[in-house]
Amino acid sequence: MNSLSVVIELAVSGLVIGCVYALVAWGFTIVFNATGLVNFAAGELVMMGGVISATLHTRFALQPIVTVPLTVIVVAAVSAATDRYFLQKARRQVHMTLVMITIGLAIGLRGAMLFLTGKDFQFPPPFSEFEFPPILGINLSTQGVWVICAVAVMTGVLWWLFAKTWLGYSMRASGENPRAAQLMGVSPRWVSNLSFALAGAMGALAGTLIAPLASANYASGLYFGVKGFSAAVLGGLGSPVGAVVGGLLLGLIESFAAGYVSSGWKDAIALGLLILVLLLMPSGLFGRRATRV
Amino acid sequence: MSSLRRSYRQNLLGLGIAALLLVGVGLIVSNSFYLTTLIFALISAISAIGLTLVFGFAGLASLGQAAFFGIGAYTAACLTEFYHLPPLLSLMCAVASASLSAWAIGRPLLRLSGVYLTMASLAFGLIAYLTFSQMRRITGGLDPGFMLTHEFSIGPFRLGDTHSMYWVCSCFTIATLLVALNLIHSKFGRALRALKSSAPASEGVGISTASYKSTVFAIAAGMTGLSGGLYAFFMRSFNATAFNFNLSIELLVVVMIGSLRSVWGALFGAAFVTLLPTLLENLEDFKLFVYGAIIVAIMMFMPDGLFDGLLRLVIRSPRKADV
Repeated sequence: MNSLSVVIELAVSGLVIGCVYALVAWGFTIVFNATGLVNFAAGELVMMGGVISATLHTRFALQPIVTVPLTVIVVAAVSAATDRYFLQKARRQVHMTLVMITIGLAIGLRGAMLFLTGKDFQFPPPFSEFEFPPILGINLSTQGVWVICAVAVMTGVLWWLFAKTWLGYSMRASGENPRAAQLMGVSPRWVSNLSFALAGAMGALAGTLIAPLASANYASGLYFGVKGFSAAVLGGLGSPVGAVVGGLLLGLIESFAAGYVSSGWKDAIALGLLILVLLLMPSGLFGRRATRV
Repeated sequence: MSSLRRSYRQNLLGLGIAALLLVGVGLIVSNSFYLTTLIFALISAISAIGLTLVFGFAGLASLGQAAFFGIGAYTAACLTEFYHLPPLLSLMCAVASASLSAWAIGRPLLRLSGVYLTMASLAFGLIAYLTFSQMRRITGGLDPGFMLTHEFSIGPFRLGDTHSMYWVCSCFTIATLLVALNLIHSKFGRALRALKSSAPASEGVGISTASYKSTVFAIAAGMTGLSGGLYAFFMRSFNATAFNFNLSIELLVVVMIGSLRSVWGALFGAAFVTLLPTLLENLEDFKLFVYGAIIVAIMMFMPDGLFDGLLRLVIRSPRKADV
């Protein structure tokens, strides 16, 4: 196998996982823009996407065409519920307390998935059984193609939502200035709920997409969450474009690190990148907001 | 006498009572299982006192304390095992190495605000765990882990058995409490409370918030490193799994069940969390969920900690603002 095809294979797998990180990072960004909160439970939403769809397949023998939408709806509902029944009720607390609540919710969701579904690593089936023939000596995984296509479609849909629809305008307005938005007839509470639901849906979709490749397990949310946050910060927290670019970039960096350095250290390298970015370039590539005290 | 002076005396009195209690328990209890549970509670308490200073007094949510626990444990274990240093010296080196690494990582990171700092500490904790797992030649990684053949000893006294380790841990707990209380009732402690309440205002009166934050972070890491070293000497055989994210969460839960305003809460929290498995059967499956539920409930209803909230209910005083 020549080195060019190695590079291309690493790049492709990097893009695949990068798409997942991009979705998580975008979820972070949507919630951050609408509420100013960093939702520590974002990684768990991805985990739940994978675990719930895998469990639905194992217990009820449902096919991906059914499990995926069902999972997305369930997780979106759970995410909206965490906002409505926990975060909104605590709105008067200081910011750090709200962050701690999201941390507690993340742990609680992880724990709930643990006793609901157990500790096994589950592999739900890929979305289709079609096998690509090797192109230029590279084997493309079908699920990988699904991931990239799904994320591309999602990107288009969300761009249209935020740029062209009334709903998108309301969410952006509420994020920029809740009072003014309220005066214009937009309810910040509704927008907050909706943002959490949307982030939940995106995370769950990411989870269902990647689970056939990387397995679904109750503990995987931690790394998805931190890496998704890394991607968001790398791209600039608050910028949707940055979230996607950051996600893809992080995926590529991680993939090449796994290939050329060591697969055992790839997570440490990806996390080290977060610390590096926070130290050197806290507003990321496209970000506007300051992160310093 | 001012109320601050009076409460320092009260705290010292409390320290004396705590010391007497620990001595009493040590003389009465001889069952090895109970002593082991107490030792784990004391080790947990030492870390928790540090985290109370960082989280409760300075307002920095650190999700990576397990890193310093591990650094302390491996430093103490490696120095004793590979370089044959006397155990007490290794323990002191464990404290030093944990503090120094915290200072090194903290100085640049603590300029970040709230959430970014929390995420960075989480990332750091994970990186430390991954490093411990990967560097198998030094640490033994996840499997087979580290085997400490020397037991803890001070000079000619061999203190490796459970009862002796209880005395050792009790002494260090009292010492840690003393350090923490002295820190709180000093210019340092007042500066910490000021910067938690309002960083810009503190800067305005000349408190260098970055340097105070890194100092308290380093001190707390040193305490956590101490408990890590004690853990290594007590367990004698351990692997990297002990230092994963769950430990960081457990320490945070201990502080939340305790008090964000008083280091005494750390003792209560440590006792509660160590005893929790004995209260609930099959806890392992539910432990994570229970921890999450505890964090959410306490943060929503008693944000200064459970012990603090309960105490307030009993003595019927209103919750003070963040001062």
